[in-house]
Amino acid sequence: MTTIRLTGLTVRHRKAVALDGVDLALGTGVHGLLGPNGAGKTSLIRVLATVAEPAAGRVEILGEDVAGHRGRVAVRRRLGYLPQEFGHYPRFTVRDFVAYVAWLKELPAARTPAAVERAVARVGLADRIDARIGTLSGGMVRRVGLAQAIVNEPDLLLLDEPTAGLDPEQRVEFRGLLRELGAHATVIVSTHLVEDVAAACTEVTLLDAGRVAHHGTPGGLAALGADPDAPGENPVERGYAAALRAHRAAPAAGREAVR
Amino acid sequence: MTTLTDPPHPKSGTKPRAPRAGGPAGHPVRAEGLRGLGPWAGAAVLVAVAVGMGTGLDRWQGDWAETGRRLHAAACLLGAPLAVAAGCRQGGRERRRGTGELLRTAVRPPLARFLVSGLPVALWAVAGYLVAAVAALLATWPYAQGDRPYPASLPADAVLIAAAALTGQVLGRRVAWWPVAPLAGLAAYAASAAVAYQDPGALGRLAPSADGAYGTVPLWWQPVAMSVWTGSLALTAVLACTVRRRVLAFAPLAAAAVAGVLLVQAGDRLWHERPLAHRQVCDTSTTPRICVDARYAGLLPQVVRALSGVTDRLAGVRGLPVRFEDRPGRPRRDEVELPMLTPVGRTVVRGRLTDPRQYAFEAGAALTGRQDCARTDPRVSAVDDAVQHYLAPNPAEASFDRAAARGDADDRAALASRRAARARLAAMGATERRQWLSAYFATARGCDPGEVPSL
Amino acid sequence: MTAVLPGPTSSGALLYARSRALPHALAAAGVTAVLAAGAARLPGVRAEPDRVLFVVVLWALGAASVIGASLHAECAELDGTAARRWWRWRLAHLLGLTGSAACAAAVALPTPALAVVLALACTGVTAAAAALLGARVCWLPAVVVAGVAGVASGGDAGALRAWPAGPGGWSVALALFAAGGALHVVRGARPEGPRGG
Repeated sequence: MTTIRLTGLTVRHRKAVALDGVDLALGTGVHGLLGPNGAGKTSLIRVLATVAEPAAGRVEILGEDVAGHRGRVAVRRRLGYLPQEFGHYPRFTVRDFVAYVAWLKELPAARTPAAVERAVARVGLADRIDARIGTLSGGMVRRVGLAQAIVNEPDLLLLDEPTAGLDPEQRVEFRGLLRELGAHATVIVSTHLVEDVAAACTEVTLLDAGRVAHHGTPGGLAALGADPDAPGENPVERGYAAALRAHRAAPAAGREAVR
Repeated sequence: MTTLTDPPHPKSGTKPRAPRAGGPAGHPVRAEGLRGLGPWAGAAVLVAVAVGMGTGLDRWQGDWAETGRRLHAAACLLGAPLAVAAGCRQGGRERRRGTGELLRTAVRPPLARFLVSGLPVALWAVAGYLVAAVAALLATWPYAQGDRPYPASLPADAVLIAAAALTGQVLGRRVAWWPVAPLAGLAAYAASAAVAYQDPGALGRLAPSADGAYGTVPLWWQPVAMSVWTGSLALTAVLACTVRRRVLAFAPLAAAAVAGVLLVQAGDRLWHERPLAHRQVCDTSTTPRICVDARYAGLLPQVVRALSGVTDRLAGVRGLPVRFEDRPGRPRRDEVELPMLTPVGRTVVRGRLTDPRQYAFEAGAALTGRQDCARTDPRVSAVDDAVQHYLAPNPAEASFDRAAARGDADDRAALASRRAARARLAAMGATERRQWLSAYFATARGCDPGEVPSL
Repeated sequence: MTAVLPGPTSSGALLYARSRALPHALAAAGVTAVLAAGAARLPGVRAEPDRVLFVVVLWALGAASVIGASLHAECAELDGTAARRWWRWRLAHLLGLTGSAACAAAVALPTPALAVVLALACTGVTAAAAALLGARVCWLPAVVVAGVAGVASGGDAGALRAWPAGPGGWSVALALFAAGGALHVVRGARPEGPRGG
């Protein structure tokens, strides 16, 4: 089922073009968003989060057009978002903060306490639920960010660099959580770590200079990197480099329609 | 269900704390109210107002009107600027903490979000002020000597502080510059102080810190109009920056305009003398009778006691003024003015006469005074001094005499004649002295030295 | 690696000044002095000593706040690991700004002695607050003390006006400045930020 449909999406950041006529359709599952710095990953996530306004094109999320106020509010109710820079109030406890976000999402008050506890337990912070966020380590704060993103059991979950600050063991567990969430929701993960994509994602989109350079499965990306002499440590990394090279070599064909 | 586990944290070296009894997640207002800036803002207002009132304790404790006036000044000069600064800081929080991105995906409308983060700060600041104000009223109560409390401006001051906090929050959201919080607080203080303690002028009456003359109290509707004026302006600012339909902001603006016009047009009629101002309560058992301002009726027994030496010595003397009076302005022909009881802090502190001997001396001096005469004859001065010495000597008399004894020949001569006059008056028999005093008081207001009987 | 284009490297002192935004602080102090001087010369103010006094007090608080705010170190963590001895720089920084402000007051304000005494006392309190609370809230104690004193006096400014001439007026101000300044010179401004509070 398609939950996100982007048509000719163009986003400008100040004067630079961050996304240039992107067409994309995504459904339930875990989608990895890869690309070099400045490729437009964060711009795409911010448009999907209804935070940034597109300069041109149409954005349809969960069947709603987000150009109108009513559509945006309807989408926001079913949205979870972990921004790249996750801001928080250090004096709030984990419980306070996640409950605050639940309130922002207009979760019914009767359901909130249980939803908060469940979300906090899922990110493994159950024993610190009444600790102030300011006393937590960087990785734990990142997990508070995850908890607030999933407190309303979102149908669309947007995670911008979610694994930054998590240690290897936590990343492995985090991938398990991603797979579980992706069974029922559309999860979009922007990341620099190709091994996260290989391990957890059902689909991968590679962005470069505001355009879609590759869209497929992690297996398909790995297949592009079959040549063991190419630069890169593993097939997915080699595939990533190969897809970028191929995209840059064919600028005229850059505006490919995917699917 | 997959969960992330929490590995032991060797760096911190502390065991993970047992979860505190946080209870189930409540409304976010609770979290903001307990863990946000609010408690600090409330404590700051409480401490500032308490210290500000406490440092000048002598000058208001026991006087209801002055207590009210000082509390109002403290609300305007300390409460409101602190609330503006606290609100400003709270308003800049989303920028400082980087939560703006997350909040923009919220479903809740901006007004609800604004109030959830802004109201706790405003309410804490108001609570801090009200606690200090109630403490001040309780501190005045046991020493009050009459009159009644004037709490009418407390609600208006509470509205002012809340409005200041909310306006500060609007400012803090709009201006992305960290010094804006201290500058806004300083500006609010400067503006309040510029209008307080002096005649505010027509437009100045719009300033919450504008105040009437000493001893006056605001009309009943002045605080109401002031609350509408300040509250509506703050509401206008809040609505203009949070509501999608900006037109709504015009409704409070219109209310503010009506209240503002009322305040400006009323002019000086906004403040009036306290209802009891011109009434006197009198003790008629003495000669002269002793009357004090009805607002300080409780002081009458102390005043009568302090003057008992004077009135006892005047028993049977004719030609005296009918009464001591305690009204503002000049005494009538057959009256003499009591030494000033107000402003409190000098003659009266905490409902007690600070120095009954000095008070008695001043009252006696008022009876014998020839302040209106262009010049006084040295002989008459010596006679006046002898009468004053007999009725109630100046507590500093001995030191004046010592100074005169060390002075030049004229000083020593004047001292000798004064001492001789005192001795002669003291040496008279009771009847003779009564008759002499009657003759003296018949001329006590005159300036012709020839009429004053000699000693 | 790309080649680095040759260019001039500024001197350490200049870079230190820029790292503390000293040009901004000097400009802000200048603006404060000009505003105060202008306000004190307004016809409605000049005629009334109490209003002149009010302007001078506001100027002293403003100048002390500007100086205190300039003590903020953007990367305190990095400064702490530097080999350079910070106390000399802090001392020069504080003395330089306070000296400039005092000179400006002596030239521009109608009551120079009172202005300098107030500025010294306020700057001392502010520098101590920067060391104990952080440079961004260092203005708070001095401002609150002044505000509370203003309310407590009930508008009677006689005691304040008599301060420089009174017994120990200058020594109290100098002692406040020396103590607060020493605290700052030894400890530096308290680090602020997401972790520092």
